[in-house]
Amino acid sequence: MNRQDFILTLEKALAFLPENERRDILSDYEEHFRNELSSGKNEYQVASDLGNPVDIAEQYRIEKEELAAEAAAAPQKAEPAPRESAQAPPQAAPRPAPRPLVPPVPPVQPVRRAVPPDYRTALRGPRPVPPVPPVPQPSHVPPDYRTVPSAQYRQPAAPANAASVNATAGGPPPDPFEVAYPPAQEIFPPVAPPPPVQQPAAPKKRKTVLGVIGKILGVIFYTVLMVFVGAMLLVLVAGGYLASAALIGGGIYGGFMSFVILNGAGLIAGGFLLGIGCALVGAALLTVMIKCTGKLCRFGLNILKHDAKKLKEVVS
Amino acid sequence: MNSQLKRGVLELCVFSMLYSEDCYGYQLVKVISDNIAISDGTIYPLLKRLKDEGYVDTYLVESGLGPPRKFYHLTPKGKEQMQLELFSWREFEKGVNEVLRAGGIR
Repeated sequence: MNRQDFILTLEKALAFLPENERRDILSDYEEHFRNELSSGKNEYQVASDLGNPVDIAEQYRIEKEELAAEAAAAPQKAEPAPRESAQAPPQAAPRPAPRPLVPPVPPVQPVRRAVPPDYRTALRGPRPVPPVPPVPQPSHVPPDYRTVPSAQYRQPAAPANAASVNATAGGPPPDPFEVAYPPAQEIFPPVAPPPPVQQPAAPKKRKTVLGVIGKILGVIFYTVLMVFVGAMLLVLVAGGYLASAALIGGGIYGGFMSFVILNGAGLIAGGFLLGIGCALVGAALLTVMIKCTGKLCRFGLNILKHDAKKLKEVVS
Repeated sequence: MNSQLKRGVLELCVFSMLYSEDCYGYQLVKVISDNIAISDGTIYPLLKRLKDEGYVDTYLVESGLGPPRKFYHLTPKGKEQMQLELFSWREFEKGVNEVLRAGGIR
């Protein structure tokens, strides 16, 4: 069949359509031919790829009849519509309907129902509840798995599939949203707590070594300080002696009286202040020393413990 | 292939092609028939029905040579319809897979 044959056959077969619609359709096919021919095909190939023009015309007729049927159903639908909408809420209530995409079912259904149920009618109408069982068995289908009792058939199926098996046995269709997922623990096995991190002993040891050095430095500093304080105390005592001597009286010291008194008073005051300071510093020093000795003792103890352990190990 | 089912699937294919951009008829036919085993002539009646139902609009665009080309455009109503069909297609697909799995086929 070449292009002309195709177009002529189609035109004849489309006689049921009004002139303008037929022209429109034919121009679509003319365009198709042009495009295909320019891509390098010949007319015969294009015509055979398009299919039988009579079948195509039949398709147009089916579409047109369906549209007409829908149009005829539309006025019928218009009347019950208000009642329908009033009834809609109580109808919708019992079904949880987890499908926000599907709007309230339009009551156009009776017309469309004539065609066998498929997923499109399932979409537009209420769900087709038992579509499977009443279908007559084609003779060429081996009867094996269909005649097997459903109980046996169900046996090997996993529990997750039970719902769908039910559906094949004529039960209510499975809700696609009720997929049985394995419990979360199977997907995410509980994570074992990480083993407690063993603090390496090295930093501790370094710390203690540093501490010991610091303590030694501190001890040196404080000995120097104490020597200085002792010297100051000596001066104080000497000044006090000189002052008392001057107060007691004359003799050799008479000439220096006034100077010595002033000097002694100054020395005494300074001595007091120094004494207080020294007492405070000494107290601080004492506490530090006590702490240090404590730490040193603990350090020594640790070493002893360690040795004891080693000893035990060696003994055992 | 069940003609009703096929028609629904083809409708969805047309919708999805028109979703992002307008196409002319030949484009639609070529892409679809290259991927799905149907004869080229099947899609033009479908396009006409989609137009009659108001899911698509058509407009003519002058092409350099020859008569103008007819372009198809998805209307808001068509987009709505596409959402519905896409949903039901996914549901259908899921259902078939479930049944296959129940039959031990993976």
